[in-house]
Amino acid sequence: MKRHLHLGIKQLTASYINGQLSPLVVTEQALAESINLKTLNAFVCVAAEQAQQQAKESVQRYAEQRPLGSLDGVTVAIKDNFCTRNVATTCASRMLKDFIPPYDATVCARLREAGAVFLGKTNMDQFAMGAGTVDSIYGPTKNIWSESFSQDNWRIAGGSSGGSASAVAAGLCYAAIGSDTGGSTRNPASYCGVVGLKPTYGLCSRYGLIPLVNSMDVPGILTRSVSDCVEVLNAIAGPDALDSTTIRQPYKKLKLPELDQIDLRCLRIGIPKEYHCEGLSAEVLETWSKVADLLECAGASVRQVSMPHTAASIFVYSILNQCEVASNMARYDGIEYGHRASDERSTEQLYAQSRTEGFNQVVKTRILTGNFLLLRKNYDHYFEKALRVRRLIAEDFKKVFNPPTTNEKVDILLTPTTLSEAPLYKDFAALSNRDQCAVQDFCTQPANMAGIPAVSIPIRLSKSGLPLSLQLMSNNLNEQLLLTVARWIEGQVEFDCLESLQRHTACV
Amino acid sequence: MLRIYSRFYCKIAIQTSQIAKHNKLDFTHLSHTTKVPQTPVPAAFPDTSKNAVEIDTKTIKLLERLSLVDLDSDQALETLKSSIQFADKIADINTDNVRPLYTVLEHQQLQLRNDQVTAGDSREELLRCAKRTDEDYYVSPPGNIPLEQ
Repeated sequence: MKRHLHLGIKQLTASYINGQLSPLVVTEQALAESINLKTLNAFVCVAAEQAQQQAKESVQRYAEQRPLGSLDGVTVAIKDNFCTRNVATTCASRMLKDFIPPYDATVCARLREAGAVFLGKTNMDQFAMGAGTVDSIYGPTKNIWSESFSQDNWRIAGGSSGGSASAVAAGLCYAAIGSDTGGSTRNPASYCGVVGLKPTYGLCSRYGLIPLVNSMDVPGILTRSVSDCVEVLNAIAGPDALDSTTIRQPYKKLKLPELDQIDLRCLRIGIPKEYHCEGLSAEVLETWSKVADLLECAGASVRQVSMPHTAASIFVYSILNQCEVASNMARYDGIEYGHRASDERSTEQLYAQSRTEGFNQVVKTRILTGNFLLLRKNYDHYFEKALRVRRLIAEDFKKVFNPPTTNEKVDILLTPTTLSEAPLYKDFAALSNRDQCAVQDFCTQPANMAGIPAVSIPIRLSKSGLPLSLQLMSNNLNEQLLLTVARWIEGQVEFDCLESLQRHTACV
Repeated sequence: MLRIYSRFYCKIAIQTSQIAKHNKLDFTHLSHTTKVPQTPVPAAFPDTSKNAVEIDTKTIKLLERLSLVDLDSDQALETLKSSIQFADKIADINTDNVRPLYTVLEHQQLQLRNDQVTAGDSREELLRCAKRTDEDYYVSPPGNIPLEQ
């Protein structure tokens, strides 16, 4: 294994500055590794030539002692639902298989401005509709922590940003961009043993992120450490004139205190009891209890809170997702871009045939169901009702973060991310798409309903040697505190994100 | 080169100490009475799997026309029905006097920009994304013909 993989982004760029490492060498090694680890199927497209070109430019900048920004020469991967100028952006679908965007998503543009080297586009569930990265036209992504890669006996990477999580866990890049609508960044981060951040809604621009559910989508960040996550967030966050739903107040770059400077004695941690739902594994429960205990030992006040509408979230999410999907997918008709069928009898016929061929069954059923729920006679009963319950879910958060009396206030919520370690592919594939999402996204969806920031951090390995992770949530725009606490926990548990890679290369 | 080597040596030394420390973390031992509920908190939602979902042929045709995708198999119809039953679960939640939450940014005024051209001249780039074009036009088959169903 390449030793430089253990470096954080700051240390990496420091080695570029003092000449111990070169962006070109790091990039070329990453490209070689992506071929060695092809079995993971993390990438749908590796942009080798462009990456090498970007790395060479980075080398030049360091030689001139004028690096572009904090990520100059840092290798990153982008989920395939972010538009990348002149690089195919497919959403892992036949519909967009040949789509080459003429523009960059804002997130990509800002990473470029910071000097990042783009290795390629990562695998996902078609149009981000899934929780396993198993529904992609390029085949499923495998989890590098799997005990075996034979037949169907490997572990899923989670999803829908499974390719991004897998690439980071396998050391193929230092950071990857995912998207998070109901947990799509945190879920694979949890299974793959990496850090996965869902920022506050509106903190990072959605411009160029192909929409799933506009009112919940956010770009997500996957890295091997909390500090690296901060580096990437600082590069991409902030208002964007191209996305009217970004928060307008200027972004103040985060700076986390050093590990030994973190004082938890004034911190109030809430344990929302409803997050212990049916199906939570004993090992996750034990992990949850232990980390709550660690926080208490460090002087934080830890108490149980109730968020009674939590369990309604999966139903509300399902309704809102299908309704927004029905509307969002209407743009794909095969005329201006995307797959075009050969049925030229009429415009309607061409639309229908292009869509029938371009979408998988999951997408089609969600469109049909969404249109049913939006029928004039159903609109109030389902869609508006779901939006009302959504407010109740969001108010549950308001009540714990901003209660009428301060002695009831909590600063951070600690919960599981996923209910278990990564499932085996054969077990997961036996479930319907809806059950796949409803079961494993139980703890992640509520944050999207309320727009608040949430982060998944790996804690330890299960008996089967698979990562177990926990989630922290905080109030809107409170990323500073959220990630400070995450960093403290990271320092306590000292999870080695690259351990699987060592095992993997030892086997090969 | 020697310097690099010694750096990596340190790195390995750090790792070993990390593993030693990691082993010290006993996940079965707690110092305080835990605040984490040790049994699942039951969620009460009605069983809607027996709810009658009536979708007649007319509705199916309407949905197909609106969606422009086929409801092409019995399995797809079953999935549609069970998705509707799934959505029925929240029907009993009391939402009297609760306003719909359309966006979490409801307190922020939507940003409007001046009505000025700031981008453009991208005709070629955009037309390049289409499968069929004729000179500067997109090409589509004859319109105003209802979908064959």
